[in-house]
Amino acid sequence: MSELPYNKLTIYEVEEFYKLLVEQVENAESKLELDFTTIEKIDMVAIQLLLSLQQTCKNKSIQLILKNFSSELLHTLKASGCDKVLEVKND
Amino acid sequence: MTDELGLFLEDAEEQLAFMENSLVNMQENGVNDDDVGALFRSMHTIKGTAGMFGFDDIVDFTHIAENLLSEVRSQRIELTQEMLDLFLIAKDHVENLIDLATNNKTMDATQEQTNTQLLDKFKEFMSDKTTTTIDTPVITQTEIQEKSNEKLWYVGIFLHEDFYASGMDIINLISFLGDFGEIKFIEPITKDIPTLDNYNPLTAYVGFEIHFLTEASRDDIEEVFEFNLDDLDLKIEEIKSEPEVIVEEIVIEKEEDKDEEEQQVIKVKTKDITNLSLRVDSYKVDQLINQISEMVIANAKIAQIADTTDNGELIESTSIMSDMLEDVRSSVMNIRMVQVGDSFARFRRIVGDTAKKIGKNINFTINGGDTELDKMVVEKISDPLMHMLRNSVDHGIEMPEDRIKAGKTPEGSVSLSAYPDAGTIVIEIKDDGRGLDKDAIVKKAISNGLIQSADDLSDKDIYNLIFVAGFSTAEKITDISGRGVGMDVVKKNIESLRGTIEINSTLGEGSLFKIRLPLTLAIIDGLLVQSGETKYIIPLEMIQECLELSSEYKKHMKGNKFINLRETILPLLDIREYLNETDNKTERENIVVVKYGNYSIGLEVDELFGEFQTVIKPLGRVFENVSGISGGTILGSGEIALIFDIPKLIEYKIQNN
Repeated sequence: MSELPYNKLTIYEVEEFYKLLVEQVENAESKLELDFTTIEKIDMVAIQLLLSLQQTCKNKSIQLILKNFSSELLHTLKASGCDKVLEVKND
Repeated sequence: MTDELGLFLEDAEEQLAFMENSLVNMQENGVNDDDVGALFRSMHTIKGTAGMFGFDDIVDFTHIAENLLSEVRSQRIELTQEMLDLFLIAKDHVENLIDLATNNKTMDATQEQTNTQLLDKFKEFMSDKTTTTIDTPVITQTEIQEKSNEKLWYVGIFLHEDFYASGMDIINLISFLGDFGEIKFIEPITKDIPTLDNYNPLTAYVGFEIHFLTEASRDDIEEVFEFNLDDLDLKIEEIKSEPEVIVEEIVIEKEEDKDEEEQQVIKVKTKDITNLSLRVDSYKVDQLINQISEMVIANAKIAQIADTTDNGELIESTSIMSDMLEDVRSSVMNIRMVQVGDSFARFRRIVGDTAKKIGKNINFTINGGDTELDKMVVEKISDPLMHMLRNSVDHGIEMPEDRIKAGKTPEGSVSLSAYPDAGTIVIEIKDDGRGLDKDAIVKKAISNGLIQSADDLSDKDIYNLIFVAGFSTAEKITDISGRGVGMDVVKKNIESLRGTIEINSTLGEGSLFKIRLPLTLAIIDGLLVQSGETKYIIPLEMIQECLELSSEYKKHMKGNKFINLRETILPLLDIREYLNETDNKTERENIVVVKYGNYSIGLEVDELFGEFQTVIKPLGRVFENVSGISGGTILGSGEIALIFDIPKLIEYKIQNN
């Protein structure tokens, strides 16, 4: 998938983002790629959803690639300790 | 607004008040470490709590302000008068930012401009005065000492399912925790996160385990999460380091360490206990007061029944119960009592700013700040006081040149005092300005159609005209006191608190506004009396004495409505007549002498029953026009008694004498 259609992922976007992810997983064959270039802000509600997505993909043997996290986003992941459990690929 | 946001606002308002107090104090008494520390802490707390809610504008602004204060604190930058003024403006700006953030609004162009200007100024001060010392920190002995007080804590955070509904981002809370020490290790607990098919995007499934190195105490750590203690479980444990190789010398050393450590723990605990304060929803206190009030009523009923029996034991137990209830009641009422000083302190700035704006010099003093009053009364009296103080500064005190012409010092003086007086609290606003001009008031009142002439009016009556709706003596409406909130509103607000206001003034010398307020609004001690067929309560604190209206007195009255009481004339108010009671005079008539302020009158009633503790219940709108009755109460027998509004009765008697 190309860039995400948001500029932030917080509690306000999470329900819509969840629906989008469910749809993406259903349609994905062996690989799901999400590009975070446009995302400027993320909160724990969204990070938790990404962790669920990661587990879902693992169970369904779909390769998940989360890429292009800004330094701000990486900082948030680190502050929550989630950088240790969420696999992010930065170019 | 969520509960958490409400708490944030409450906390922020408190911090802003601390900030203002410190700043005004330093403006008046010079810069000192305590106030600088308080200012820094308030700024830091607002930054931290705003961060928890993601209010970025507040965080960005307070961060810079805090940095500057940090430099001041470490004495790298001197806090000048100019900076104090700047911080006062910054405090107002932070207040605006909080208002915007909590109402989901962003800054408009003017606010953006203020924001930038203030930040530029802060940065200017930082760059002007900071030297290379910033980059070469010197570790002092104290700092070394502090380092050795650090402890390693395990902090476990387990979010409740509905945590996200609080609107708080847990990452912000964790970052705020990081401000108090060093997060050595953090790992999320993710085992409960379900896969997408069983997932609810608004449910919290995670927790966190943190190792945290800090000098802060367990309570300090818990305080970081204070807004969310209902939304998460918190586990805080000290991580003790493993003992090293056990050899005798080391064991001895360890023992000594332990003693020291234990002493420290004891010290910390003692400190915590003495400084312990709780933030309790005022609703809970009100509920407790209501419940105690009901108990007081029930107990009065038991006491009444006990009195009719010969059972000595029952009578004694009831009496003990009454005493204990009285203690409980007074303790509960005490919870609501606060010192007026904290609330008064903010007026210093209002007076200062108002005076500055119109070019007057004013020496403002506050006396009796430690006087205690019901918190609700303090809050409700605040607006009327502010209005009256502005009036004093704006209309009362003359311009410096006029004062010099009048032979006064160019600096005017305004004082705000509070003191207890016979079961009431008196608040006085006194100025040495031009005083009230009776002729001007009369002229204005006649031209406004409020009175026909001033022939029968006493000085007090004339002064009281300024409390009549629609009256304003100001020649021009200024933006300081002529805001459409007249003195009539001030009087109405004071009366709604069962208080009164009176004015003394001398032309050319100044004015004194005296507000008299009840200590509390919920319960009063009263004397139960009967007049005609109705029972009434007279507030005990206003009663001076009770007399029998003997035939001797009656003989001397000769049909007049007063008696000669120890060579002073005591006006009498016949309650039967006043409230149109049926004529049911008993053989023995009684007079209850009541006093409020400087006035005494005698209330003629039929029977006296004795002291009675009374819960005030509002009477509702039907009775709102019945002057002289302030509320009702239910007696032990289930009967209703009406509570006299003594100030109103005295006012009636004076006007109709």
